[in-house]
Amino acid sequence: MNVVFENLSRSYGSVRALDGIDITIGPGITGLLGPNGAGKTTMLRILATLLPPTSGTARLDGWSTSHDRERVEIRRRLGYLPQDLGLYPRFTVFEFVDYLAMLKELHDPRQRHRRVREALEAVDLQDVAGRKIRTLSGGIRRRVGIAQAIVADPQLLLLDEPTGGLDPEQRVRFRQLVGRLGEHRTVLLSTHLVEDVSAICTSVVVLWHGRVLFQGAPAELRKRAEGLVWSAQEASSDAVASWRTDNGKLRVIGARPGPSATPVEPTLEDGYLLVTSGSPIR
Amino acid sequence: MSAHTPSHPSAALDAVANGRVPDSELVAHLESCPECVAYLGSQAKLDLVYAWRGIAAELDAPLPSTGERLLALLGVPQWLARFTLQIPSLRPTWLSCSTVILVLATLVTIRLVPTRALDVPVVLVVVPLLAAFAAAFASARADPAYEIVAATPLSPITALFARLGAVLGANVVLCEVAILIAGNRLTTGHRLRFYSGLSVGRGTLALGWLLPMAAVALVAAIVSARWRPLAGAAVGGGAWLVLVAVTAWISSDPVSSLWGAPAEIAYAGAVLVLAFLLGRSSARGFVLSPNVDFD
Repeated sequence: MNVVFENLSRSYGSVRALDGIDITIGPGITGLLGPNGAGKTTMLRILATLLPPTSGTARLDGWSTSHDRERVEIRRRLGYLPQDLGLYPRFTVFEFVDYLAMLKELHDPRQRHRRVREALEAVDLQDVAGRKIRTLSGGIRRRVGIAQAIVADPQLLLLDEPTGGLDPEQRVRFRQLVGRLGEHRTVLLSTHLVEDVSAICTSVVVLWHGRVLFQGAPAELRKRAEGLVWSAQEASSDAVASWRTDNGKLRVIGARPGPSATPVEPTLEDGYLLVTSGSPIR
Repeated sequence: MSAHTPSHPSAALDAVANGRVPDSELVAHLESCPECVAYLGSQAKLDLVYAWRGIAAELDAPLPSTGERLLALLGVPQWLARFTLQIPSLRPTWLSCSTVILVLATLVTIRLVPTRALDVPVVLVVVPLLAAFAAAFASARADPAYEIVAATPLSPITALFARLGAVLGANVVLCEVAILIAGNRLTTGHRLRFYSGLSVGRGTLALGWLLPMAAVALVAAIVSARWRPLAGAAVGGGAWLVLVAVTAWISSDPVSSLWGAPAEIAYAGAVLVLAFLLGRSSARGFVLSPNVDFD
């Protein structure tokens, strides 16, 4: 499923959350990377047909989010995990996912129950299927959210800050799960964690104040910082960013801070910091 | 099943071999046909994981709630029944509170109206207020899973009017009982005879309180769809209280002014306009408020 944004803008009063977005996203896992307020959630909400754009269009395989009938077609192919996940505390895990499966037009009870069971197995929640949601930890609730998003086998999966509140072990398992899900569908993953993108995404979009600063493969973003990352004793004043590492030296992004500085292999985070710094170096 | 003759249920046997549960007719046939049993044994791919998943799913699946069963008796599909019941204003605690408020309002009305301490019966003022709160908390934004539900293919118009209809239906039943009780206890005086006439079976204005209730509920629903449920309840209920207070202040017969035929015609017009506005604003979907936090 292809997602196409054409000159898409969205304003909240005088604040422009998205400003003339013009990108195409294809199958695979795409990471939307950016700081808080960059417009990631707004972008996903427009794709989830919850918010209309102020101008421009968002299309999924030709269906526009701005047309009533086409919006229903989009929703039939959509799995959505919002950032603020609202659940019914008195429901059991199975009951909640089953309820959402009903609303996603899986009306045959046997077939639906089987799909719910499969979704719960995919997120490793089959053992807590009968537990009330109010008794679950934040990480397990997040997995319930993912289960409801995948229960109807969506072609487009929108995950807004899915690793928020997960511990490191859960995060690794989540990445494995999303990696599997992304093999046969389009997944858009909003995050401000570079390591999430680095681990699972096949492409990345960097958003900054509602604009696209970069779109491409993670390796390309990493490449942007090639020759601009240094290990040094002191940072120069014009460095894009610098911080002390566990070997006691500074990691400096920018022009060579001094003759004693040695070049180091850039990471995705270096590329991201360079792109979002607005530095004229690259 | 090329070796099988046409008299054997080839297609049904293949379906069973692929996991389908045999119907009673096929079971009876298998009991008397060793050839088909042998064929089935040779074809069936026993997938224990698949079979267990189906069994476990049925064991975990929830039974329909009492409310769902009641709605099913009225012909409401299970998915719509479960959706309709996920709102605060249809929970047993909410309905119990509404009942207590109506009982108190009815008692106050029975005690005070004969003494003419009040110009308008309290119970008739309370009914639209309860409806305003119930309608506001039946809006999409009162649903904890609002954002997930809004991204499903469920028609927003169906969603809105199913929930609104259910809360208004529940309120109509509760309020009618209260008004019947209050009305039947009040049998003297012109004003009280008129008031009694508002209850079921007492003339042309049998459900005279229904239209103002519906109008106030629709105002609350429109406001809460755009802002928050509490704002909807406050605007709908507040508008009704202002109307009652102003009418009681300027009119010598506030009961007739508020529930007489001219007022009912005005309420009916308002209900039509408000229902149209609500339907139009909802047709687009559960669009988030422009004031929602953004990122």
